Amino acid sequence: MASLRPMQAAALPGNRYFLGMRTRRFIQHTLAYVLIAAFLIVALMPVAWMFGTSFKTLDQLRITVPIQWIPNPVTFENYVKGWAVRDWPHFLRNTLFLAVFVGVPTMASCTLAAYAFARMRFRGSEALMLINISLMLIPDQVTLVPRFVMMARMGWVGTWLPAIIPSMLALNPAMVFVLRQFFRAIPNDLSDAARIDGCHELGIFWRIVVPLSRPILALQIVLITSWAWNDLLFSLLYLKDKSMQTLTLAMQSFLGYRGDTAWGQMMAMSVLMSLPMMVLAYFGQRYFTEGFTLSGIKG
Amino acid sequence: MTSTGLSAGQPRLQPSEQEAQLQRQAQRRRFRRRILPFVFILPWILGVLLFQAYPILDSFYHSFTVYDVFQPAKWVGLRNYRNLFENSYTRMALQNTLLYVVVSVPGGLVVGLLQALLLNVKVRGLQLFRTLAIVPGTVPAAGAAAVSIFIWSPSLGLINSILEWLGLPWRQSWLVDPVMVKWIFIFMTIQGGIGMLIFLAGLQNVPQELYDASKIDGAHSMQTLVNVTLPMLTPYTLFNLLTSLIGAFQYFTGPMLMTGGGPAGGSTFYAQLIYESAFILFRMGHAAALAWILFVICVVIVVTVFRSSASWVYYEGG
Repeated sequence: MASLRPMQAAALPGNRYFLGMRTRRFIQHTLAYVLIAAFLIVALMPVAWMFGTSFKTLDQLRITVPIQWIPNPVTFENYVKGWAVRDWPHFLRNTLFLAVFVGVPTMASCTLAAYAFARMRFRGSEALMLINISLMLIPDQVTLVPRFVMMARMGWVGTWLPAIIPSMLALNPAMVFVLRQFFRAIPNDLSDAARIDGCHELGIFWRIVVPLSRPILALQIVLITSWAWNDLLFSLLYLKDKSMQTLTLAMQSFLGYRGDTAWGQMMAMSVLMSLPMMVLAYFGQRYFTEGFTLSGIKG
Repeated sequence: MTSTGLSAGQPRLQPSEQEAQLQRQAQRRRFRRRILPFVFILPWILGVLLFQAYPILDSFYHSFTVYDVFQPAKWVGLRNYRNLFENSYTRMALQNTLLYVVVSVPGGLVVGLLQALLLNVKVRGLQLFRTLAIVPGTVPAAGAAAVSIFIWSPSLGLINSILEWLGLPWRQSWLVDPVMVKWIFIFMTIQGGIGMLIFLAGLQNVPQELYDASKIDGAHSMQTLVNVTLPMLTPYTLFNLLTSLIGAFQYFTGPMLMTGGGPAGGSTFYAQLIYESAFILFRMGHAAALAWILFVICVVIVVTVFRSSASWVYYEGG
């Protein structure tokens, strides 16, 4: 990249400098476009394949040279047939239940704990935070078996309680940590002013800290929902009952049960299963990066 | 607070009464300051005790027993641990997992960082590119599994079709090959993912002054990247490194959905082993021993990373 030395440039703010900057910017931007395009093509290839195949007829599944990305003719048969095979709304409802039953209590208990860790002084807060960080780094598998035995003893397996109760107890050290980091960066002036105006601690939490933390809270909602959409382990252990099965389990059995001829249907159902996450990620991502770039609150 | 309007009509307090009230208020405030934080973290404390500390200790105890939930546990000393290392299936799963950690974690970090840097160049259509970049990550595991099986399928798969189309003689049986299969999972999961978003957020927090200063000093973009951007991103790198390490040790959803760990244990990862021995074979003691080995490995790695982080992570303002 042919770049002018800044000293020279500052000394000669004339035509050459202007052109130099422009060509340089042009080269940089073109390079960026090429790289972004290359990366997006590789990353989106499977998704495009999934979309394309979901509209293909059975005989279009054969390998063709060149590869047919866009189906011709387009058929909606896969969606119709795939939809009829399972009671998908039922599984979708259960997945939503899982997201809500885990998400709402987790958000409530974790934000409260993170608030105390970030903005209140109390004995042993440093030590407890250290424990939280260590817990963040322990794989779930370590506590998996005893937790299951515990839940089974309580008679909770086959109910939603294994999702709800641990969530009420802030059982998400990573979220506590991330929220605490974010809350810490909110300037104290605001809460001090509110305190002088007679606002109590819960009011400061609810009226000042929570609204200012919307981007990070939005990210947490996206993360929990996407967990519910992806989870296999929890579902296998606690939601085995037919009435509680989630989309992941339904898809798993669908994958095992259908043969090579049902690829179109499987792709169609994968598309349907992905759509809610895509919408959520779209809004979440905008909110997230915007929030981080716009809110210039740093200590 | 509805009674505020009445306060004007209330009789004036005597000085001593006033003092007493002030004292009471101060007391209440002190109480609040001391007790309220604990009220806020009480759920967290209960959660840690009930669902973290107790299970960890419990699994430590049961790792020295034979236990199938239905009958009381029987103490067998170190037998579970000895069996683990004699079992070739376990050794293979451990090998697969370590390989996965060593290749996929650094790979994911590099890819995530590169993606974030790319998506931070202020070009037109940036919002659209950012949105498109996260689309692959939004396909749920089960959907992704279906697509992947299809793509890697030996007969109808996209990969083999492309190879044939290009005239390359590299057609493989991919997922059906016990040696090949783990590499497919390792490379398939090298994605920016959520780490990319975290790097992207980190990039927004690099102060513009530093870029300006580096420009005035005559640094090339490459020098700015190495001397300004990367050091400022190190806290995010540490966070991503630790979370992806732990995530990698727990990896099993993909193989479980696509191959069930096969063929011949070729894609069995450690976490699946724990799940299977506990909930399919009901060998809880065995599973606890497996979990504890995982625990020790993770502690060693995490402590090493933390120790080393003092020398490579830069925190603004010390």
